[in-house]
Amino acid sequence: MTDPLLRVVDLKTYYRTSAGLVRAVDGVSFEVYKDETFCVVGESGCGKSTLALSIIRLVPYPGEIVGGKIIYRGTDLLKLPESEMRKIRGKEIAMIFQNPMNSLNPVFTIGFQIAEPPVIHFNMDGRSAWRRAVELIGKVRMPDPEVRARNYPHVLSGGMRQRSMIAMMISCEPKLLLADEPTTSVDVTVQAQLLNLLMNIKRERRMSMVLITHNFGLVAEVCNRVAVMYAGKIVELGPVREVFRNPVHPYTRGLMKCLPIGTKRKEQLYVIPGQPPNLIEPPPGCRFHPRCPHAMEKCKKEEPPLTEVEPNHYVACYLRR
Amino acid sequence: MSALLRYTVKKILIGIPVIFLVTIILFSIMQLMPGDPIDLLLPPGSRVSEEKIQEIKRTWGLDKPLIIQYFYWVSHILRGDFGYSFVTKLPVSNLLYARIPYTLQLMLTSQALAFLIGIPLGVAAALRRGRFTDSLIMVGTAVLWSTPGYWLGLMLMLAFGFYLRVLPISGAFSPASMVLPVATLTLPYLGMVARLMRTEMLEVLGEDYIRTAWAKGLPSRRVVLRHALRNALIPVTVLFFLNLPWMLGGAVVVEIIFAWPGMGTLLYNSIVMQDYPVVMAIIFIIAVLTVICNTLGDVVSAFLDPRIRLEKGEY
Amino acid sequence: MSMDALARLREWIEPILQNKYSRVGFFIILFIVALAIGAPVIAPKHYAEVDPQNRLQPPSLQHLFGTDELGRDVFSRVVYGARIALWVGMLVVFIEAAIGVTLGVLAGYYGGKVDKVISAVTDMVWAFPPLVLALGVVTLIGPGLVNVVTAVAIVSWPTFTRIVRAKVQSLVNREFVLAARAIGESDLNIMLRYLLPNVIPTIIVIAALSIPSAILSTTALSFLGFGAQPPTPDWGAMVSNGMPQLPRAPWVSSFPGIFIVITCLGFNLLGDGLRDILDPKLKV
Repeated sequence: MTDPLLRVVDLKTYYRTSAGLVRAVDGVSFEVYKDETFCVVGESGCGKSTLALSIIRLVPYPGEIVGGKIIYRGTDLLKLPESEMRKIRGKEIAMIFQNPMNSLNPVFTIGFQIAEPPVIHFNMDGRSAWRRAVELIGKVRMPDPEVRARNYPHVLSGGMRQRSMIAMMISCEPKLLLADEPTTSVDVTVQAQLLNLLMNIKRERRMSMVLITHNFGLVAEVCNRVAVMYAGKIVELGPVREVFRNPVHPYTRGLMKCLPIGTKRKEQLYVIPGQPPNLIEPPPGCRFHPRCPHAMEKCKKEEPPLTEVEPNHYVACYLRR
Repeated sequence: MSALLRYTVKKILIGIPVIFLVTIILFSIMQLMPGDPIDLLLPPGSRVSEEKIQEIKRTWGLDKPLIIQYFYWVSHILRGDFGYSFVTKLPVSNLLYARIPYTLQLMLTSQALAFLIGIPLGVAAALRRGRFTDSLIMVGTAVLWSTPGYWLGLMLMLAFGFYLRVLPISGAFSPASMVLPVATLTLPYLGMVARLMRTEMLEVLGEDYIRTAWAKGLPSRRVVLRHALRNALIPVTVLFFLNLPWMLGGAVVVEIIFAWPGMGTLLYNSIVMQDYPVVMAIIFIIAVLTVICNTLGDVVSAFLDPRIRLEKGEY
Repeated sequence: MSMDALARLREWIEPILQNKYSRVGFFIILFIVALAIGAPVIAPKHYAEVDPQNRLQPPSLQHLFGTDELGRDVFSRVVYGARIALWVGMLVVFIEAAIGVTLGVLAGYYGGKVDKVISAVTDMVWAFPPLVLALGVVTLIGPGLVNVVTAVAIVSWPTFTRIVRAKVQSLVNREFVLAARAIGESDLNIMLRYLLPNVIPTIIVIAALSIPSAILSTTALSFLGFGAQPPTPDWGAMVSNGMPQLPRAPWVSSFPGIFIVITCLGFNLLGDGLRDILDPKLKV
């Protein structure tokens, strides 16, 4: 296989809160290849958003990246000075956020906000940047781009704002797009359209994408490879077909059982018993063991390492050995 | 822009009845006060012929029912005619016109300084949150905000007027005369402005759209000074206008201490000497100023914040 | 005090002591309260005791803060003054809260016309410079400490109304209020037993932050001669007393002023701390 575009090695991001150290991302490693759509899936609070924010080094206070490497095209981003990192953000790696309602600046027109990155990164003059913004607004299939460019965010619907967000983030043709739950907070009817748009643009511009989601169904539709995250760690990682056909980790299997697809009408939806663990004092051993139907004595003491069970399919569980 | 214009007109239309309400309140208070209302209108102590009294009664409508009297009175004060001072026997308007420029000079200078210094201090504190600079600014501004203006004035007077002898301590004779009164008025307000600015800035810096700005790879200058400051300044700018009348309250005390010949000194002297026509006139002028500043505050906030213009379906 | 009450008190005080600012504020207030309570013991002289032999003496071991133009001990007067400052500050805020909270709850709960009228009046009073308005009220009702307290309270309640109104508005459509309506609770009951308890933390924060403004306004009026009459040891009146001899005897005006600053600073720091604990999003 070719060199990966992005390689995350043993990444650790902790939040120093007054209640204690929250290990939101605790030793995560994976690769993203060119043109690939890589999914990170897990329950809310498992650290997947923090993971995405860590990649562009925007972890909010009091969070901090305490260890690991993030190698993008041969450079470790964690070693770059902030001024160099700024040239990566928006230009090489861009990120789409979950909440379009608050993610656009209310006092600037969306045209201005979309035109901004090319002005900064390419020294483009204001007028051509604006023309480009209008073009991009059309590209994300908003009607009347000329008019929309002059709108303030608050007059637009959630879906329209998320389209503007996409336009803004692809304005510098980044090679990697991080999308954190990009469709979660818009209407269900709009979700599919938005996702299609995103995937089309991705394909057209030959970008790689890291898609963060809690929706396993979405994973099946759009991803090449998937990582399942639980309590700050990756518990299963593999090509999406392989993971779907042959889920190994009990947590992955639980997630798949939760999917309403194929459930018979009268059958109840499956629910994984218990609550996601507290990340300040995670359970010892395998973090999933308190909720695991197959937990053994060993699981309570030792942490299972991520091991290859089949080619390119990795699982952190003692069950299969 | 037309939405903004419509909003402005609407706000002005709301302001007008408020001013009328103030006139009604003042008129009622005057009716409640002892004595013949004609005394408020005649140059006091002067011997006036019965005919002259009748004539004044006619022009002010004092021979008419109360409600008509009110309209006569309003039409006079709207033309700037507030009757005569009990004490100086001069028309109130003459007294006022001589004083207003001094007060405005003091107020506007102090207000401008408080914001020009307070805003950068607040931003600096927010950007260095939790560090030494922040603590220093926070403690300093808390002390300033807790300091009574009259006492601060005396202390400044003591230090710069009596001990160092570098600044005049009373009157308004030279630009140097302004320094101490302006400092006294500015310092406590500066504390408040800086604290508000810090709060707003911290709030905005935590917003999702600031994270977006970082994610776009903008330089920190641009994120802070354009994206964050532009939003954080909205409430602070509105405060600028809302606080102008409050500044007037502070000006009263400061003017008295430094014998500054403004409206505050006039108000104080008139209260002490029970010169009601003057007191009423000053309160009316302050009320009008208050309403104007509020309207300005609303309009400016709408100008700065596109969300406000479109409130309630005004498109 | 029962163990339970003691435990509850600790629960309150501990977070205040954790923040360095509110800890300082807390101890300042404790100090001022101690002065006020212990005044007869702490003060070497009575506040009104004149001593014409020792007029305008500079600070010394005998007279820590010196003496004033009548030979009264400034330190003793400052100590007794703590009683007046605290008493006046709390009384003003109590009246403010009584008016302000009532109007705020009514406006927030009923909405519509009631809200419009209350809000219009509130906005008008709020926008008006408080000191000027208080001066106007004092002109009408005459000078004196009680009148000054009334005047300041009459002009400064809108802060309470504005914030409480907004708070209540955010609560009226919450499930627990709708449920109370559904089971037929009276309006008065809903306001007192369902809404008010939820607003209490906010009220405490505004109250703490309003005490310094109340002290500053009342002492300012006393300074102008409309408030406390001699020989009441009001800090504002004392500053004004020292004015004629300012260059000769600066201690007469300085010390009471310093205590005003300290007291107000204490309440401001404590109030900020309480806000962070009880209602972090509140803007006063």
